[in-house]
Amino acid sequence: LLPLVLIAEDEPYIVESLTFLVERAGLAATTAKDGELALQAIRNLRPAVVVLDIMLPVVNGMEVLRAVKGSPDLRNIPVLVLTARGQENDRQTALALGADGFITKPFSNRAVVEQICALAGLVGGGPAEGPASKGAPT
Amino acid sequence: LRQARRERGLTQAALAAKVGISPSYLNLIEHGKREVAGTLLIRLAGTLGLEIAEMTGVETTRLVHDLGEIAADPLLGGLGIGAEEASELVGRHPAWGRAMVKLHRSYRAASTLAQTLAERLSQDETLLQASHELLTRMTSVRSFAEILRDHPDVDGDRRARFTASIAEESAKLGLIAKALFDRLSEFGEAGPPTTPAEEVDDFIADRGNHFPELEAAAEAMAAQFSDGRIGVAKLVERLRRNGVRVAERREAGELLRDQWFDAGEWMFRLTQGAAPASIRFEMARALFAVEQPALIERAVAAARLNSEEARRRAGRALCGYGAGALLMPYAEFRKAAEAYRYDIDRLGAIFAASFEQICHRLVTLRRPGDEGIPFAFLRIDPAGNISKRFGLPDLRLPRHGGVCPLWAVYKALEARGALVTQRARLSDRREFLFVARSVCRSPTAFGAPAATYSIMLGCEAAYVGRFIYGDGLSAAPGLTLETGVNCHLCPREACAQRAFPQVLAPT
Repeated sequence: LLPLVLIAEDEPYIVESLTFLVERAGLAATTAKDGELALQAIRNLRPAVVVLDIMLPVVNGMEVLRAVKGSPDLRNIPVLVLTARGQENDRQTALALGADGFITKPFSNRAVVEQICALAGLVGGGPAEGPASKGAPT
Repeated sequence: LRQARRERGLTQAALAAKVGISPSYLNLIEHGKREVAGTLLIRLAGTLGLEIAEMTGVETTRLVHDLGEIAADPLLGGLGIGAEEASELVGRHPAWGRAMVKLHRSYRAASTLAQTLAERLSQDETLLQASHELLTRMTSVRSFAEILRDHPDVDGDRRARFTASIAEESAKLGLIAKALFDRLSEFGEAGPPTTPAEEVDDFIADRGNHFPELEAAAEAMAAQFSDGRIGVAKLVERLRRNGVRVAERREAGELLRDQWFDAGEWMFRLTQGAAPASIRFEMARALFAVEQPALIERAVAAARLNSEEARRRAGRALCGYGAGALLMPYAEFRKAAEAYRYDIDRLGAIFAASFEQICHRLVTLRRPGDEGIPFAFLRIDPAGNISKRFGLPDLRLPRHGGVCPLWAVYKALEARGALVTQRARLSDRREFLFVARSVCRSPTAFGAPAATYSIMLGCEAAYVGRFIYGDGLSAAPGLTLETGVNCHLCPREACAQRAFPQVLAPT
């Protein structure tokens, strides 16, 4: 079974490109278009990595992050936070809440794929040999 | 007290004797170790010829208090300013004390304004929303573009969908960018206060440098003159018919520009020795003020001007516009301008007007359907102060500070009256033709100062065929001046004349 990446993002085009990139990197992708759906998916599917946009409808990304990192059950799931460039406050808040990585929009595909793979325990931009280990967040 | 005593040449002993106290007691009072009140206060005030209020020092107390606050300002920390010296400073140099308080107040006001503007910018919902949208669209465009570049094997269907998404998102980007710029320019309009001169420049620029109602009034006025040039004699006669006294002014010394016509006295002062073109122009300006007061008043009232000074300046500028229109009638002037390819000297000879008056009139040739070449106009003094500026949509002249020191307008100061022409290419690749000359208002008497200005016209290089000053200016790369509007906006790092780093450095 391929490691699963949850893409929590409300912009359909960004979802489409991230899904493509994740799949090309040899991982499986699932999506959630708001914060509530994202939390449900995290609880039910236990993804290998969550790519989390901050500006999400219903429950915003920061609250999702707080819930994940505040839950003993979920806190080991690595979360890569996506935010618009220049919002330094967001970055600091996200890191304080325990985010495992941080990417600013507009991102380069390579950077985002590298981070996702690293958090999923894969090396580089392609599928790793052997089963992927769910390493603890660094 | 000590200051006043010393100024009057009295010793402590002498003053003490006069008011009937011991010198040592006076000494204590002077050092602020004893209060002084009642009859002694009155006696001291009387003896020194001071007001009681000066002695009781209500203002002094406030000043000392204010200075104490200033001393506590973290900005001045580490300078070793003690509040204790404040009373000494106020005692000895009250004017300096007041100056410091005034300076500190304006500094605080300016910082507050800057902070308010910064906060408004950072919390503006429209801006935040637009920036977020912009980054979101850019993200998908970039991501799809990189996919197409890095994954040549993407199947045809997907490829087509990605390409269509890029096109769609790019179109949205354009709209968002426009919304952003619109919002930012609204900020510019509601920005910090401007000087009266800037307000008037803005008002004239907002009206596109053309006032049809003044043109019409000038044409009607001109029709009432007999045929031939409107010379000084005709203007004097017409002013007198309006009841204006025209007096020759014999005192030496330069007359300030707006002292020619005294609306209160209803008198025109004719300065001996002034240039004939100036006399004629100022008379026409006065005549416009005398015959068209309602028109001027309406135009000024319609302008959104914030101060009495700005309204006064605007009225004067509009009368000057009317004078130009009266002495250089639109149709005739425009025809001559085209015929002689905007040869300023030739037009000056035909219309008996100065270089500056011709340049100014050329800028106003914006009658819809009958426009002349669109010109930018600049007037600077030898210190580089810009006293008049009209930009073009693609050649915006900064409100503060000078322009590029390589421009003809500065070179003309060195050329002392010779024409300087230039072809300039700005950092956005747009090209302009510049023509400039320095002009000197000669002193009217020994000891009276002369005034030097440099005046420049600029137009887009596309008008080269209609503009005589473009002749002989090569468009070859090495012969065209590579420039920016000023250092802050210019990307040419290697320029020998660079005075400031570029503000918006490329990322």
